[in-house]
Amino acid sequence: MILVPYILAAGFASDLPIGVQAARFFRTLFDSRLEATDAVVFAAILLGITCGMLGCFVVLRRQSLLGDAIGHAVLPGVCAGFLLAGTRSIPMLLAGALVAGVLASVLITLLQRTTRLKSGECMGVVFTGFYGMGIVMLVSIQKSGRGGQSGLDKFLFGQIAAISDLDVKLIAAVTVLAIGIVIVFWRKLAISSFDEAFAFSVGIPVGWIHYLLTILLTVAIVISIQAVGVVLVAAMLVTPAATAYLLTDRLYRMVVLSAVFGALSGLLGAFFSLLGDHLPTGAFMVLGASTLFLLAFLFAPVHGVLPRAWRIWQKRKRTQAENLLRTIYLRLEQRGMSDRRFGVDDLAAMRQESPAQVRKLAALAAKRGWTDPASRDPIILTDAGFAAATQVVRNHRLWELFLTQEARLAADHVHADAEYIEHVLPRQVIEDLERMLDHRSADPHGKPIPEPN
Amino acid sequence: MTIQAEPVALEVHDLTVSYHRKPVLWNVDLAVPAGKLVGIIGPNGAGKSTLIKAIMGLLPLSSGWVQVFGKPVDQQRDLVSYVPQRETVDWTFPVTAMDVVLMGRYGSLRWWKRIGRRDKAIARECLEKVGMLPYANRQISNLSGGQQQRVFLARALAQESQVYLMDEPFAGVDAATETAIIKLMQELREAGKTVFVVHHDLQTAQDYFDMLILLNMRLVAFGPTSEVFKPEILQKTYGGRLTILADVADAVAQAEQGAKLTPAGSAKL
Repeated sequence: MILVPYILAAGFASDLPIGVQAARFFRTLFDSRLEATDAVVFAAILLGITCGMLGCFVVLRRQSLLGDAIGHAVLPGVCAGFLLAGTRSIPMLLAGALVAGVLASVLITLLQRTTRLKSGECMGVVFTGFYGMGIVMLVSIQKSGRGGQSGLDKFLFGQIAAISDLDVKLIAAVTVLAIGIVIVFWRKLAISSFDEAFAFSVGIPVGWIHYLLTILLTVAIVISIQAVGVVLVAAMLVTPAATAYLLTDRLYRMVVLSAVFGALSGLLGAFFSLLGDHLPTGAFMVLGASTLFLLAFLFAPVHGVLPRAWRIWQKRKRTQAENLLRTIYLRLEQRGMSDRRFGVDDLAAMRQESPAQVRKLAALAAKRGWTDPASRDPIILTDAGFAAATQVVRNHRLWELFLTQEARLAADHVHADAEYIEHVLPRQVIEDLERMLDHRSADPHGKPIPEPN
Repeated sequence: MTIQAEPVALEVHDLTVSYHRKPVLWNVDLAVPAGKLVGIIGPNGAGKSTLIKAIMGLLPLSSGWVQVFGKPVDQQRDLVSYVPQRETVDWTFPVTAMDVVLMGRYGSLRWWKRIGRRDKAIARECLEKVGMLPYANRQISNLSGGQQQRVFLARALAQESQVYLMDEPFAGVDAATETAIIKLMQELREAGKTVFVVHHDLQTAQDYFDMLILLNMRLVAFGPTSEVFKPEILQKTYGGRLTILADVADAVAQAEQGAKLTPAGSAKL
């Protein structure tokens, strides 16, 4: 779904198939002569790295809105820079943007300290105000006749082709600086993002760390707006970091992954933007980031939706097979533990299910090596199956015993509960139960608790 | 009073703290000798957490000063360790229990130095002391509330400080963790450390602490538990707002007749 805009863009851009275009794009990328395309793609990747890396701290400090706020708030600064310089002088525009960004974050902090408003409202009020002012300035610049040459409209949605060699150098310098600062201040950033009060208590200047991060963020946003645009720049801070957050439980891995995702998004954005002539780069970068996020959301090994659903599905099947094993074990007990062959109809009657259902459960058990796959009726319990059945019954009876002995529930209240718990008891808990119950050998109904073999 | 042999670990002089100009803690004076286990008790809103945050310099003081072993707390940060309330941090933060405990070493590390073998050994030792070494590599959201609290304590231990300020370490923890924590605090005291604990449960306060600070927006009483854990002082602290007082008064009476209070509050003879 999310790929549709790419395909549309590619379709508009040229008659050549997309694969051929991609091949050309990457050929120019690795061409030894520095061409305009190289510089632009290089810039996009660097931006992705900077934003992705810093974005982790924004996300972890629960300040995702701050990126959005600063992104929008720099617009009047860009326009003011243009008015002061009289032309589209990049250093002036960036200086203006920096001033506006810092001013906005100072105002936000001030509002927070002096009123009863929370940070969300303070940001909302300040950045929309700044943005409105920026739009008014932008429109008046364009009406004044100089708008055509200004190229300021590119700052709204981003146009990476407009980036000059000087810009690329600037972006590279900022990236190196940002990486350096994150490495040097790593511990301070980590600890003050996790636990600000504790960080302060060990003498870390949390206030300065906050300002440093805000300024770094503003600079990253300022160098990014030409490529991404003020409207969407926040996505480059938040989306790669959020993607990385779904994939790892370690901070340094999150930062590295986020930088990689940022770089990939930048590359994708530059690629599709350069395919078409004047396609907004920002939108494609953000779509690239969103695609990566969607993939992580669906497939992340631990936190992803699909792996989680798969694990639940597997657990359910295992539970069903274990339930059959328990029925088999009960029958085995009645026979005095001899003869491991069980008729499907007999088990079905015991379980109050249809023979077809029992056969389905038997197939699940056979897959786990618990029953002999060659014999469908009678079902033949294997050694592994016997061990598993013993364990399930043991868990069930231990838990029932615990509920009656320790939790003091009546014996007729505990069966349904144990029915569920027997499948989920971790090893550690079972050991605790054994110790607590003093290795007693019979359950509350008087049945023996089987020893594991 | 005899002349105290121990030096004064913490001195608070005329401390007043305000939130939005509204004073929440008035004119507190304290001088606590080293090597004591001190409970800070009082009703909700009495300023218990405020007191230790103010001592740490986390809140601006409207008046007064705080000294640790005779110097302003700002110069003695390596001697003081602070355990915030567990709910103040985001436990989904991507760090392991070990990472959190290592943060206890950050204060004593020069900024260009890396975490060394010694730091890691200390962190492991501290995790071991709170029984959390098997969980060292777990991401912290996969720990129970009691385990998270133990990790916080291990981080404080890793600081190797002289004075410990703990904000409600018993809040929402299981009985086993509570026992483990109190044992740890007693060990710290035996080692000559001074431990301050914001505590909610009057029943256990008497058993746990050598000295009590009774707060209700002002210092109601401070002294050895045997001298200040009295019905009339508790009455003054809680202002008669809690029905628990009657029960506690009974418990105190029983205790003074030689009965030992159990955590459940029932007296065994």
